[in-house]
Amino acid sequence: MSTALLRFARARAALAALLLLALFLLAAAAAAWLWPIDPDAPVAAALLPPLADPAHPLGTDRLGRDLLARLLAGARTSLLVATGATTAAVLVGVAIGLFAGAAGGLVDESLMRLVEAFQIVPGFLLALALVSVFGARLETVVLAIAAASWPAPARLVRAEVAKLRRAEFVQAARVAGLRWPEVALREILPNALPPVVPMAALTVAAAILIEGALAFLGLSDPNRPSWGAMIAEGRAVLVSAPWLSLLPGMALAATVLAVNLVGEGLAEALAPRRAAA
Amino acid sequence: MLTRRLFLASTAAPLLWRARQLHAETPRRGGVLVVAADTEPRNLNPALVASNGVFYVASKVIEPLAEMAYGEPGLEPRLALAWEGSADGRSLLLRLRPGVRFHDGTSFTSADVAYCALELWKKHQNLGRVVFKDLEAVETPDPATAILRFSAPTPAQLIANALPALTAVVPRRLFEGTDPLANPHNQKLVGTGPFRFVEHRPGQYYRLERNPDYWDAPKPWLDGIVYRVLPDRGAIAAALESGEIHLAAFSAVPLADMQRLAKLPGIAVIEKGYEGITYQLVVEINHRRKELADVRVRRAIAHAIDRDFVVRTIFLGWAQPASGPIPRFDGRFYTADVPAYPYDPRRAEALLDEAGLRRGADGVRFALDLLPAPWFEQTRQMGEYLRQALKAIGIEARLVVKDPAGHQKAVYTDHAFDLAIGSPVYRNDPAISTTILYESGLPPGVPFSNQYGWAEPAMDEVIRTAARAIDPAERAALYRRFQTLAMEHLPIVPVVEFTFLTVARTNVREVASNPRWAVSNWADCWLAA
Amino acid sequence: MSPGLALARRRLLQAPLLLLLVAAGCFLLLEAAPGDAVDAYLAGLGGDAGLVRALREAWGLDRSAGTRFLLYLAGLATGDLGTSLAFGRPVLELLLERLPITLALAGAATLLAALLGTGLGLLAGSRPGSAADRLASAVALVLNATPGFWLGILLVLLFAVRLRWLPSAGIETIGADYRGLARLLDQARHLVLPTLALGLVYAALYARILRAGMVEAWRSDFVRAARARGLPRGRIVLAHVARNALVPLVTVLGLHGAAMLGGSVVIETLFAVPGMGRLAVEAVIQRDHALLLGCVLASSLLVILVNLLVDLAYGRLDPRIELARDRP
Repeated sequence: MSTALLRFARARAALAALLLLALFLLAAAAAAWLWPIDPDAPVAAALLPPLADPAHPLGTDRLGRDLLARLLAGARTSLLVATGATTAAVLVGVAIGLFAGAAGGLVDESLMRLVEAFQIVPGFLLALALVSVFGARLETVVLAIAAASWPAPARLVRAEVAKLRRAEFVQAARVAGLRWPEVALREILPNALPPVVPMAALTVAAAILIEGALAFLGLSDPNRPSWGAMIAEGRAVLVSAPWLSLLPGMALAATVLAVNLVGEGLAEALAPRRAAA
Repeated sequence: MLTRRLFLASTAAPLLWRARQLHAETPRRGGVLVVAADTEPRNLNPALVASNGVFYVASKVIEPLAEMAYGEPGLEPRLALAWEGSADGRSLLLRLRPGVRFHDGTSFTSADVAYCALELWKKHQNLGRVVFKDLEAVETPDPATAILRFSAPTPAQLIANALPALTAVVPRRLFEGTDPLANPHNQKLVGTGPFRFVEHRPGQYYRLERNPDYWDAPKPWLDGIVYRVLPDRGAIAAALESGEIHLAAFSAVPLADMQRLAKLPGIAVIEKGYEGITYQLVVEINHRRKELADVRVRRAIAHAIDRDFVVRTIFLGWAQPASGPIPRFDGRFYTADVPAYPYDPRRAEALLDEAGLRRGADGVRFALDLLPAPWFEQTRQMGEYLRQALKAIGIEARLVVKDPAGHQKAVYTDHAFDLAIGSPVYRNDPAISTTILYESGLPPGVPFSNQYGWAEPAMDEVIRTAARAIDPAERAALYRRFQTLAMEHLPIVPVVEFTFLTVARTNVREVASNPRWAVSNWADCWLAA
Repeated sequence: MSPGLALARRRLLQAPLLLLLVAAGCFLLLEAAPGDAVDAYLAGLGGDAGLVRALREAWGLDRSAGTRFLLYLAGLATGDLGTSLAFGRPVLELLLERLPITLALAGAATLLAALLGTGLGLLAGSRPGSAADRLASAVALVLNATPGFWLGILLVLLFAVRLRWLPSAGIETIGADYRGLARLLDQARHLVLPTLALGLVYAALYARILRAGMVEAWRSDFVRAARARGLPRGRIVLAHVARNALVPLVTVLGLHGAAMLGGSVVIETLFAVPGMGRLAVEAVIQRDHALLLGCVLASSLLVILVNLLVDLAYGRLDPRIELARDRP
């Protein structure tokens, strides 16, 4: 009785989170149409507080730029970086995991050492070093976060593949005369993927936070507003204009929260059904 | 032979100025001043490294021959009492202060000056290598006299102007016969200054203590100075507000927070004390890019910049528009009589049209990469502003931000930029670090120099002649011509000139007592109860 | 040999190879970077062409990358970590200064995360669906999504600037010359805010993991049977539910060693804590090969050791778990 209620509550939370996330995505994608103010242009007096001027409901920053427009543009940056980095990380991770698991032997062994080498270096430090050295551009930030995130899916997929290799249907396919690459792609890959989905959601959440922290340290594309950079800028006037760092911080937290909840919902939905349940 | 006295330091004017302040209060002995430091230089020896980061700590321990002062003649004696140049510009006589002891107890003599000049300033120091390049020998007829001999005419005025920043003296005894760059006393400083070096805890603090044998007794008033290493600007503001530190120099607090701090009881924001190290915000231009090689395009860029907006919003009023490469403060050289480029976007667009760069269907005339230097909050913000300003006249700029090493390499070695935002320093004489931004023929890799691909024979001629001009009046005239040429051809666009701010608790006294205050010796600084 | 020990042995044997890989990677990264240590150094100074050349020569940067890497490895083989160009001091000396500080911070944060996380998790997981669960879960959910650096800013604003209860930065009161216990207490006071900023996020994560594990355990046949037998709820929670849920937590704790070191980079900057994270960032900015390699090798070694401990502990906590090499 209580577990059923619980599952319902959780599903409801995941659903709400999904809606919230969809809203964020929509706002980010349609920002230019929903709120057609150039986020980079000084448009009003500097440091206008929220709700003071209906033309700028969330106020303006130090250079007189519209905060709402910047928050929306920041959402775009955040989500773009996070999804881009996650896509790259998952693609690379899955490819390497699948290859290592399917090939086995020395290939497997050396690829796994590479994965471990990446895993023992703090991911944030790696991303920071890459962006610092190769310049703060959107592409570098995406690739740097991906470089810090691919080992986890690689290990996961490899473990699944290693398990599946011994599965009956795979053995059957082998006996039927399919070559390894075919078996790997057709039989193993589809079955190894489900656990990757919730992990991808976790990666998105982590990527949003890494992007935020990098931007906070001044390592974000200067051509695009970013929540982390806005927090850092707002920090200079934290006492006199607290909304400048509070609002982007809340946006950041809310997005991560929504992604986390959606990820959990996905994990629940994709988990193998228990006999007892 | 030493016929003409160029600059005999007079102490009258500074004394007058100070007398006004002393009138109000008598200094109190005691107390340790705690200040914020945001860098820990690798080499802390000011005789080897002339930089504000080094001076900020080291100038209290190791002194130069003279210091800048408000009023005429602009210099106040420290280790030297007087300096006179010869008519032919080939020698300069230094009369040194007698009876001064280094912190290790040995006497300061002309031998120390001779060693530092030839072996440290001339050979190794970033700025000294330029100013003292023709220094041939130093004669030491007696312990209180040193005569600098030059192989080519060198303006005594230039040397005098260079005294505050370039002539820190360390004991010869500790450096002679060693590799000066690897000498342990580049960290464990020994000098003649009002404070002795006690210890450096990397990442945490530097600690200095009062030198009881200081030559200018009863100074110093403070018992010691502690520099807390606080690399984060927000942390500095918080530490000031919570009373954990007394003072932060070099605008170490974000300007926007400065306004708020200034209103708090017990905290003051002081604008004075940096005139001698005036910075400029400039737009650096790569003339290898064909659009930018056209002076009309460069003038258009200058017309597109609203300097008042930059002063108001980026500097919150703590700056003023620059009219040329030399700041107003230096009345000896400054001239306002140069071509000016007031904010006028329509004129800018007309100039671009005239240059044949019309707006395309998308409204864009051409696109370029803009690299703001990463070291100041303001250089980065200027980058953001310039991008907007250029957009208004149809130039699409893409901001490219690199870390210091990357920026250095891209702009000054690889020339991989179209526009850059730089922040050159004016160091009390145009020949120290200003003309190098305009002179041609420098090899790639020289930081903060003309790596812009711009060469103008008339300009090179003026710079060359001025470098050998002995007569101050002739120098001044040549440097006025230099400013006119700079603004006519506009190889780089000066935007604003700015100095830093000090935020201090109000019980810190004698803050900003000279135009290089933050990098001077603080012997007169004291803490009120 | 027990499976735990066998795994530990294998890990130890592989460690040198891993470290070599990491070292080569870091070296390559700085080689590929635009600008070298001299560019970084002169970025604040200026100078002429002669000075630039002389510095490159003095710092050995005129030699090829291959030569420099081999020289570094040769030094490493004799236990010499080299000299930092940015600081002009031996790397080992710098590490010995900074590492203990980062360890104290990361250790305190881990402890906080483990204790608070377990507490919150138990509170929530003992009675899933109760008001206490909802509250604890909500707190954990929000905290888990909060960026550490933002939390840090808010903590400083509240506790250092407004209330003045705690210092805003640094690791001890300078010039106070505390000795013994007084000094330790002073340092602890300085570490409170950074520890909270670094550890709270993980506490929330652990609480959520523990709660999820406990919810799972409540559903298990084993616990159902126990409940059917009418065992007191408290005993079920402690003996079965929590115990099973705690095991995966230990692994997670170990896995987060590397993440914690990464997170401390931001926190160290925010609170002016002179730890190894800040040192590593400085090394990157200054293009200081020896220093960066020193920092990364030290942290990698640490992570390897922590993983080793986790493997050993894992086997002990739950002998049923097979330490298969395929474990993700």
